[in-house]
Amino acid sequence: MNPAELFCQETDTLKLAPGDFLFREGDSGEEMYVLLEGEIEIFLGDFIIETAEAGTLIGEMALIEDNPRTANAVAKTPARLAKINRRRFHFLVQQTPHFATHVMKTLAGRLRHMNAVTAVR
Amino acid sequence: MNPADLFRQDSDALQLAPGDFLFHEGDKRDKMYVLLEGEMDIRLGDYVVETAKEGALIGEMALIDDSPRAANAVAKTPCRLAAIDKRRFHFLIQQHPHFATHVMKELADRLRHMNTAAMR
Repeated sequence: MNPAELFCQETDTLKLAPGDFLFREGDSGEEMYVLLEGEIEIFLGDFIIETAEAGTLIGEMALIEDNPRTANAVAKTPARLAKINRRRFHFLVQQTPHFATHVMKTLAGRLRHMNAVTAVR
Repeated sequence: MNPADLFRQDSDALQLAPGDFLFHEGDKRDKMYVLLEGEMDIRLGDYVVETAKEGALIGEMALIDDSPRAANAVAKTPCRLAAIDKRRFHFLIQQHPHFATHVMKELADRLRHMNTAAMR
């Protein structure tokens, strides 16, 4: 499943120029994003933990847990994103089990990555 | 939501004694577990990343992305666990959106914890 295909018809998309922040660590987050075009870098402090590409979910943790953003997200190239608010997120989880599974896969992949990074240190 | 309530009636629950491994890092398995009673240490090498308590989901990552176990799970006290295979897992996600949300919360919570650990 590539979520970018599910959301590529969105008219109300967000456009970022290189260097623009999508969000900052500590921001309260009411939306998650699906990256439709471009690349976004996810930073913990100065450390790049991921370069997100088309199809990547970004900022889902703040919606799931109701907590502030855990990282900084900065456009590396011109980027276009679909926005998903909390209501739509829960609707998607309920109505589209593949979306729920995809969110889990994304989280599990990131957790594996962070486990590896932490084990190396 | 406490998933232990959802699975307490499971008759074929698994029992572990302190020191027993539920699984080892690198194992290829196709089940996850809900901790019904007791405490389990989740270890990366010798580093305890979490002490799981009643209601905790354990081993769900191998079901989600089909990859080997990412950590070791060892009983700290006598434990009782319900086993959930892949078919039941996907059934639960489809039929109980709250279960899906709960799995996401656990993953997000662990990821937040590891992000913090990585920054230290």
